[in-house]
Amino acid sequence: MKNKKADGWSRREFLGGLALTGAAAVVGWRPDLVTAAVEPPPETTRLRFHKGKPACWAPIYVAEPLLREEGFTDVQYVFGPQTEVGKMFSEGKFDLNVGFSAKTMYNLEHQPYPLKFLSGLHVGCYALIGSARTRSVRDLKGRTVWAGAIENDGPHLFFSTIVAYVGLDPRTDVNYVWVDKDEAIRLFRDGKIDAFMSFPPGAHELRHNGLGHLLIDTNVDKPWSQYFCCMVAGHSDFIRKNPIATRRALRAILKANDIVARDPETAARILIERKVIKESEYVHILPELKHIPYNMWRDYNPEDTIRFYALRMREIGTIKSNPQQFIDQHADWRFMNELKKEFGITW
Amino acid sequence: MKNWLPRLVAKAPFTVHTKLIGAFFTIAALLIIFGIVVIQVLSGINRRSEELSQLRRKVAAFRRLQHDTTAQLYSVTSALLSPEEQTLESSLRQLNEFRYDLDRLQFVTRDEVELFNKIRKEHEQLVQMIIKVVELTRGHEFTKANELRLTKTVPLADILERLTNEMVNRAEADMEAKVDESNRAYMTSRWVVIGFAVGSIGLAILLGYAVSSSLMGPVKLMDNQLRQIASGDFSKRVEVPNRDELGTLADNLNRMNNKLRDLYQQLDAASRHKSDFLANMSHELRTPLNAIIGYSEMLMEEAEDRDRKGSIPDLQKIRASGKHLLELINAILDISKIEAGKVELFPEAFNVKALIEEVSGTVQPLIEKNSNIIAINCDDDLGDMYADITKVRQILFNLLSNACKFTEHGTITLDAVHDYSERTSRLLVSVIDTGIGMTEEQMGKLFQPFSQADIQTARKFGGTGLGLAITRQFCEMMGGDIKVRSERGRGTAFTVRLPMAAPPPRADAISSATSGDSSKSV
Repeated sequence: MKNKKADGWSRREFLGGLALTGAAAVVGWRPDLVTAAVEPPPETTRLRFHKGKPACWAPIYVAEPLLREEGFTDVQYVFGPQTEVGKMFSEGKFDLNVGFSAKTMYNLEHQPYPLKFLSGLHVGCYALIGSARTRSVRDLKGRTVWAGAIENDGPHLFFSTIVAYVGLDPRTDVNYVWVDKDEAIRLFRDGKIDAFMSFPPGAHELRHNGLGHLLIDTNVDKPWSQYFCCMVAGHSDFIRKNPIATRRALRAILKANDIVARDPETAARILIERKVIKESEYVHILPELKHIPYNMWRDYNPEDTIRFYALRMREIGTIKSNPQQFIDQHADWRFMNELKKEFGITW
Repeated sequence: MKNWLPRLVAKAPFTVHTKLIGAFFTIAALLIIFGIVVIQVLSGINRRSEELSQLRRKVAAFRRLQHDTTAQLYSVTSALLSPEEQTLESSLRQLNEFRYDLDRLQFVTRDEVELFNKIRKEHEQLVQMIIKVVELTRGHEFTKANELRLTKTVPLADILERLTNEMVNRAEADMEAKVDESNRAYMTSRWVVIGFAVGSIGLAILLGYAVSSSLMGPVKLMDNQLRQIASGDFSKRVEVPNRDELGTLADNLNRMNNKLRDLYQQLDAASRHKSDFLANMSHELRTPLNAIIGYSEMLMEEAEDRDRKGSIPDLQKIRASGKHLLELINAILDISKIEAGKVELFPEAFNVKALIEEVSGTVQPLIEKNSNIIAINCDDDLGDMYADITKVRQILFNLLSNACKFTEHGTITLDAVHDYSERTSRLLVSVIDTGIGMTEEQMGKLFQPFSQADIQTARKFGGTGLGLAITRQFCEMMGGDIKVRSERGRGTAFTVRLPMAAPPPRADAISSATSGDSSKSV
């Protein structure tokens, strides 16, 4: 009840949501009335998302009014620290979740929980910022980097795959500092670390302050830009018991993806309203939301993302399972396949 | 035979031969199956190696395709930026080359066909678009050409690149899955082989144990039963579960046991009756004989007193015959008492040397009768002996009188020593004569009751044939034994060993004495 109270849908937000729906119509998206009319109502009207810090998850917040249109009257965003996601998922505290694909696979490998990947959300969003002493990723050999505050968390895993891709051993060739983001920025500014693995709004914030230069921008640099970063996943029990609700929720999220791509300003505002970011961060988040290619989700095959990251993580010994095991046990593309025609998915 | 498996094998209604052949065939079959399993495992490993090798080739080919795609797209993009006819021609030719690359690809599996066709389709679209861009470029419509390049060609190239990447990822993922499968299969195979080897060895051992136990168990039981029978115990039966030759053998053994028991009981009863009869008869005969001897002596005294000397020799003959008959009856009485188990020992302390001198004095007439001489050699430390003096005396008397009987004009030597070589000190008495001696065959039945060396000997020298049998039985009752060495025509030596302190009488000595077993003494 506390969460509902904290994250519930106030009248002000509801009106804001309706305005957003109107805006969506303005930017070109129109609800598929035919589909909505034919499809039966969802098995449940309650939907619980994991509420996380990353700003790139904007579509799940933007999707709220769309979810109401799909028949969900009780949409909850339940907060939980990243380290507790697996446990909370196992306890059934979330129905749907958005997360970095590699990190999710890592969690599934080391602390299995009933999760199924449903679709991709967006590519890119991570950026590797180098100091003046580094010109390329290979220059990081023997250097000190910040790749998140916790070992084997999203930034560290992404960074590991990036350095491994150029032939470095992420476990031995690089020195890490495990400090929080603010401390890392200070160290970077003081020249004590040579690279900074950033996620929104970190990269823009650093560069806005004239610190460092981009070594890797996963929004545009290949191969990273060719694979999803964040993916939508659901609790296995929820998916099994509520297939219509799952499909409707997924539809709303993917539509929200398009809205974020076309109206990043509104999306940024919603993030502030949902208290995902602070007002002061708007100036940094907006460019990031504009930069992340939210509109590209139709062109990327989510299964190939699982393959790609599973292969990379297996190469560096972070996981032992092979890609096909993840696909077989933790992927359910039924809903995406059902929505393919509706959305004009190309893959 | 407590275990159920040997019992089960034993109960199996097959011959021993069939069971053994069956066991060998089973072990051979296990070996063959084990060999087949190992071959299967090796075949699996080989097959997976080949599949892995094929996947590696596939990944390499797809990577080559991926590399070529990227290189050609880069080349085409560069050519469109600097539009020279020669460069444009070259770019178009390279694009066509890519078609041949696709055609040459041999590793596309059924599930990759869709993706492969998509690549082909995207490539065709890209080629068409590039041709349009080239045509616009050749027509010097650079703005339109550049716009078309940015809006159509570049996205198509991205898609193509992504699709080729996907192809590589799929192949690599397949390879990783195959590696895992291979590892799992190896682990499984290893445990299968180890399990099968352990199982086969265990089964072979179990089978060997079951078969050998089912065979050796009854054999041991029957051996034990035969020992019991040999010791005169017919009370037990051998029970085996076997339904083979050993079962039949056990049944026959039980039948034999029953037969022997019946015979033994009959023999025992007959022997008892004989002993009882002899004892009774001897007693009944001795009474009138004593009367005859007594009256003959009285008559002799009267004849001397009344000076009727002419009748004295006849009376002497009556008395001598009576005495001889009495001795004979006494001997029969002794042996029958022994056989009936009615003889008891009455040990007492006595001086051995004195006893030997007394007995040698007693036999002096017999020595002189055949013109023999006697030599007595006694150790100085013979000392006292604790035994039944009557029996020892009789033993010495029997041996000396025997030596006197079968020796003429010879020497009879009696050696007596105190033997300390064993734990119990013993008296060793040897009576050696230079008489007629015996053959091996004659020695074989020497100690049997009513038996002499041969019939001629009995006729010539007389006697009951009971003396040595009694002697041996007395020796054994006192915990000693008697041995004989002899050579035909050269003489005979009897050696008696008796403990200086008599032990309690041995039951088996009595029973063996009654059974007439002579093996111990010769």
